[in-house]
Amino acid sequence: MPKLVIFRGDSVEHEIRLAGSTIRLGRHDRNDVVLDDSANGVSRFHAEIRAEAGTYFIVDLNSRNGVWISGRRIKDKAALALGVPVTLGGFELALEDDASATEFGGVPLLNQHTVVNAASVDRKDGPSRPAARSWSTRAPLTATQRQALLWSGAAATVLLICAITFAVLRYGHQPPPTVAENLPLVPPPETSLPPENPNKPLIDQNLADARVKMDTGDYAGALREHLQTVLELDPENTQALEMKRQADEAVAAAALPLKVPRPVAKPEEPAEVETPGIPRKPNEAWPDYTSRVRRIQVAFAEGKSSLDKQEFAAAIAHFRSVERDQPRYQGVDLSITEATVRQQKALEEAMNGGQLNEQAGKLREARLWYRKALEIDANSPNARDKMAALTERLTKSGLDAFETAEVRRKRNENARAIELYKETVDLLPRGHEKAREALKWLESLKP
Amino acid sequence: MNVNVSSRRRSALAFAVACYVLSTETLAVEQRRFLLFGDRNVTYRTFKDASGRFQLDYPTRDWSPFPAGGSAIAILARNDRAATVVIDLARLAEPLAPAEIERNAQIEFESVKEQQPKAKDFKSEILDTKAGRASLIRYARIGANGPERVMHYSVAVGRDLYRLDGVVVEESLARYEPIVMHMLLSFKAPADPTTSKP
Repeated sequence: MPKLVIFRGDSVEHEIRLAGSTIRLGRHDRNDVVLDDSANGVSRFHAEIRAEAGTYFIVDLNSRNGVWISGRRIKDKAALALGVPVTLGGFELALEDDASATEFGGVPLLNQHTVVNAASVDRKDGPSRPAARSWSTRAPLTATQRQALLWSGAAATVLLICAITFAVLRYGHQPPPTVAENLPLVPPPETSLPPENPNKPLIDQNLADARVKMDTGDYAGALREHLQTVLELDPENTQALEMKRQADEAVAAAALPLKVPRPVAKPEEPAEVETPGIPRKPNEAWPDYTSRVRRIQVAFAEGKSSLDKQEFAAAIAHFRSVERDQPRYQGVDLSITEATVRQQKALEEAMNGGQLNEQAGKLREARLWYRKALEIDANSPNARDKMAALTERLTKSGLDAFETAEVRRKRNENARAIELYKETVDLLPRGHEKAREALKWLESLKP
Repeated sequence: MNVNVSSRRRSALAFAVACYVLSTETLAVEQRRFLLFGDRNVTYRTFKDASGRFQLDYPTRDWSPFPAGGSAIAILARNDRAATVVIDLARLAEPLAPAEIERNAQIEFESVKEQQPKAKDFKSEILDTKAGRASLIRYARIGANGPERVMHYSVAVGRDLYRLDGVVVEESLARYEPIVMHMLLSFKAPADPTTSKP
C-alpha cells in the first residue's frame, strides 16, 4: 500500500497510508491533512489525493499557488508517480511504497485528522530524513512521545538559531542576486536555513518563468500565469512589480495599434505633450491644438518684434490675436496694455510736433508728423482730422504754387518756375492732375 | 466924396482878390486829393509806336518823346524832367489767361519790391483799362533828383507784356501825377493803324 510522505525542507513532516479514499490537504482545519502554513503559501483547501482505477491523482482545488510537479504547475489534476515530488506551498509530497511500520503504531490511516505545522517548535523528531517525524494528531500522546516531541522541539530551536546566525554573518552584506541569472527553474528545496519567506521558492520560480515568457514575447502569459501569482504572495515584491510594469507597457503597446488605426500616408505625429501655458481645450483635436499653439507662438513673437520696432498698431493686433486664442498667455494682456500706453504717448508726441510745425507754417514738416501719427494709430480721429485739414491746406498751397509757376514760366522766368513746379509736386497729393502737369513741365524745363 | 468912392473900390477889389485866391487854393487841394480836374486845362496828343504796337496820350505842351534803349521801347518826359513815362516791353512764352492777370500782378508786385528794396508806401490795384485788365502799383522812392513817386502800370496783351513806369518828383506830384495817370490809362495796344504816328 503506498504512503504519502510530507516533507518540509529535508524533514519528513508526516506520512499517511493511502487506503484508496480521497484525502484533502490545506490550511483549514476541516482538511484531512492540515498543512499549517502561516505564510499562506497553502490555500485553505489546496488539493486532494484521489485514487482512480488503481492510480493516485492529485487534484488542484483552485488553489492560489497551485500544485507543482517537477517544476511545472499542474492543471486540474495529475497522476502521482512513486518518488516524484509534488510541491504545495512550502511543503513537498511524495508517493512512496509503504513496506514498514513505526514504533509509534505505524503510518496513520487516512481517517486520521492530521495537522502538519510549519512552526519548528512543533517538530518532535530530528531533522534527519526519513526517520524524523513531526506531525501531531488529535489522539492522546504517550509520555515517551511527549518527551521525544519536547526534545526534538528544543533541538530544532537551537538549530534554527544557529542557522539564522550563520545566514546573517554569511549573506548579510551581499547584494541580492538577479532573477534571470540565479533563479532555478524548479524551486530549490530548503536546506539548513529556515526561510525568511516561506513562499520564496515559489516566488522565485514564478519570477523565473515570467522572465522566460517575457523574453519570448509572451507578456500576457507572464502576467496572467506568474507575475499575478507572485504579487498575490508578496504584493510588495519590487522585482515582480517592475516586471509587471514592463509587461503591462508591452501589452498596452501591442494593443494600441488595434485601438487607434494609424492614418495612411500621414507623417508621424509627435507625442501629445501640451505646451506650457496653452492648455488643450476639451474636445480639441490634437492637430487643431498644435495649430493653435503654433499660431499663438508666432503671433506673440511678431507682437514683441513689432513692439521693439515701435510699430504699436501691429503689436497690439498681434497681441490681441494671441489673447483671443489663449487669454493671458505669457502675460499678453499686460503686453497689450503696455503697447497701448506707448502708442498713446508716441501719438501725442507726433500730434504735438505736427501742430507746432503747422503753426510755424512748415506744412510739409507738419504733414510728416501727422503721417507718423497715423502710422502709430491709423484710427486716431484727431490725427485723421488734422491730416485731412492739412492736406486741404497743402493742396491749396500746391495749386497756388502751380498757378504761380505757370505765370513765371510764361514770363520766361524758368528758374523760379522750376522751383514752383517742384513745390507743386511736393505739396499736392500723388496723382493729382496738376502734380502730373508740374512733373511734365519739370521734365521739359530741365536745364 | 471922391475919396470915399475910391476907398470902396479898393475894398471891393481886395475882397475879390481874396476870394479868388481862396477859391483857387481850395480847388488845388481838392484836385490833388481826388485827381480830378488836374488836367482840365491840359491838352493831349497821341503817341503811337512806330511799329504800331501801342499808343498813348501825352501832353501837347512841355512833353516830348525821347530816344529809348534796352528793353525800353519808348520814353516820354517833361522837358524839365519833373515827370517821365517809360514804356517797357517783354515777350511772354505764352499769352496769359484771364485768370492769371491777378497772379501776374502779384508777381509784378513782388518783382518791384525785389528790385526796389528801399522803396516804400507800396499800393497795388487791378484796373480795367482800354488795354484790358492791368495792374497798377504805386510806391515812393529816392531817385537821382530826390524823392519821387512811381506808378508802375503793367498789362499783358497777347504774348506782349507792357510795363509803363510813370515817375514824378515828389514836389511836383500834385501837378503832374494826374497827367501821368491820364497817360497810363490811355495806353492801348495794339495801336490803331490808321492813326499811327511816330
